[in-house]
Amino acid sequence: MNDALRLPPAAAQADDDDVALMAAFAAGDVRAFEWLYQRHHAALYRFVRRLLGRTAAAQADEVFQDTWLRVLQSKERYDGRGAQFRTWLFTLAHNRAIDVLRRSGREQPLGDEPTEGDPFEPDGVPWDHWPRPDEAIDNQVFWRRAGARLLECLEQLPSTQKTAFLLHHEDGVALDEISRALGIHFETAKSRLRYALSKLRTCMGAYLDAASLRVRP
Amino acid sequence: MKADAPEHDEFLRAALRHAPDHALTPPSGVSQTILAAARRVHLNPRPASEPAAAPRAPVRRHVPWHERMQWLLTPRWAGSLATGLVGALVLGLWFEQDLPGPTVSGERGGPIAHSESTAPAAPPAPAPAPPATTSPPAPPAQDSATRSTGTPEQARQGGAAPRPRGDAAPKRTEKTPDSAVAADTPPKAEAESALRREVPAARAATNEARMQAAPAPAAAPEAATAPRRAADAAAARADSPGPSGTLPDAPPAATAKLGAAASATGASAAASPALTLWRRSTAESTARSAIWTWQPGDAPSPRSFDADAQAWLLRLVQAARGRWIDVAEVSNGQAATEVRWWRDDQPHARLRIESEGLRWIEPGGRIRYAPMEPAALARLRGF
Repeated sequence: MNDALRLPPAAAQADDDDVALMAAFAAGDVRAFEWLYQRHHAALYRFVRRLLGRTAAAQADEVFQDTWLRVLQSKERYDGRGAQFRTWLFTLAHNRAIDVLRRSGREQPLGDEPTEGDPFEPDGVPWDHWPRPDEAIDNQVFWRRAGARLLECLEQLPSTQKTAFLLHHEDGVALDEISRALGIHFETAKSRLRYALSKLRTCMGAYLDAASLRVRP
Repeated sequence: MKADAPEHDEFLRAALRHAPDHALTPPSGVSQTILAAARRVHLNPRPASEPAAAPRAPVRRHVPWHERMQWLLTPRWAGSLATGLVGALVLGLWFEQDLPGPTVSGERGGPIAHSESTAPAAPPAPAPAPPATTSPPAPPAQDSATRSTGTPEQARQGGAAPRPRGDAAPKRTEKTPDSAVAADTPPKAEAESALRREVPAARAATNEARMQAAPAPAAAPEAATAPRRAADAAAARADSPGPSGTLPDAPPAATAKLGAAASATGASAAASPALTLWRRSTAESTARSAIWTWQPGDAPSPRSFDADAQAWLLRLVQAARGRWIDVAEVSNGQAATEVRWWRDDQPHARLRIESEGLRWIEPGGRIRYAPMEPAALARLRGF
């Protein structure tokens, strides 16, 4: 990233808001877009990589680039009333990634897709003996191993549940906004998230055996 | 958020933050591409088929020429260009091989009729050193120069379109172009000297200057082809109308008849078909690129269009210069002496020496008429 991107444009200085930046970009301020890009490019790229997984990692750059190009094309249509810019941006990336996965035949079947009203049934015993993050703050080795393991576990999730988990936990998007952005019912979004959490907890617990939990107080 | 929504799992969230890919960033090339696209969006207000809401002043950005031509390097365009070039090359080679020399070149001479009737023939190009024993054959370049003075009607008939031969199917009795060429020189020299006596000295000087302006040929071909060039030029001058626009050397009666015929038929002055034939036959016979035969008057069969025949044709050129007009009638309904020419056994032209003029009929259908005095016509009947 060049130095120019580190300098917020005039529009960003006046109104540090994504919608305002998009409006400034639509009005011809290219630096407003550069600032938007600077704010969201790392998180979006990470989201795309995780959503595509290892098998489709080669398409991450393509999906990432296409997402931003769609932002460019839609600069005059986006008004911020439908969703927050970040949610809209990640939704664009999600749709594009799903297209890639479908095209490559690597999208996981939705056999375990929860339907509205289905009771939540964890597929395993949740592991609840994790150290508190503030307690293990000094143990970077543990958390790095946990992070690497989490990425492995994410590979096992269907893309729909993975999307719900990543948007909710990584980017802090509320469930109702996820449901609006993805065009699904709130309960569906909630079920996807619950299934994702259950599987991830189980997967992480199976990996973090007792020997690896010596950091636990 | 709804009340029963699952809360954040802080452990998973912490694991996400510590994942090895947490510091991952897109490649710089991708970032540069996206940012460049953002700049281009404002260079081009309507990108990627998206409708523009309102016109705005485009942001000017200097784009190097090699970036603008990048589209030419795409396989689609590069392939198309290569295919086009190869196709053009093949077509060019094919045309170059397929066209018969004099005929097709004559077809290409669009503005030639004007130059034929008003300007002397261009001096021929140099030729390779000819054999010393015989009259030097005309060089190919001369052929080209002569061909370049063809007329549209030549183009029509030069294609050798098959036409019914009618009653007189020509049979070539003499296929000895060598002898014809060998006997070519003396009568031509006579005609040449006669022409030189006619033309003013100033025009001869001009012609000489033009000849000298041509690329310097070898000495021997120059000496050998100079008389022919002079004859060409003289014939062209003899055929062209006078500077006043009237018909030089034309008797008043013939001029009056010509005017009457032109006004009656709406005809206009035409290029001399005799001069065209003389030039072409002379050049092709000398270059041996075609065999010309003719059947004058009451001759029982076609015979070689030799030097004597060319000399006669040159007299015809002189006698009828500036009088040719396009007409529609193929005959005046009276008996006439007919002269026919064939090129490579294909009918090329027919001349009717009628009681009041000459009528030149071509296989392509074009008919030209030159009113003449009876005395001149009588002289032409003496082949």
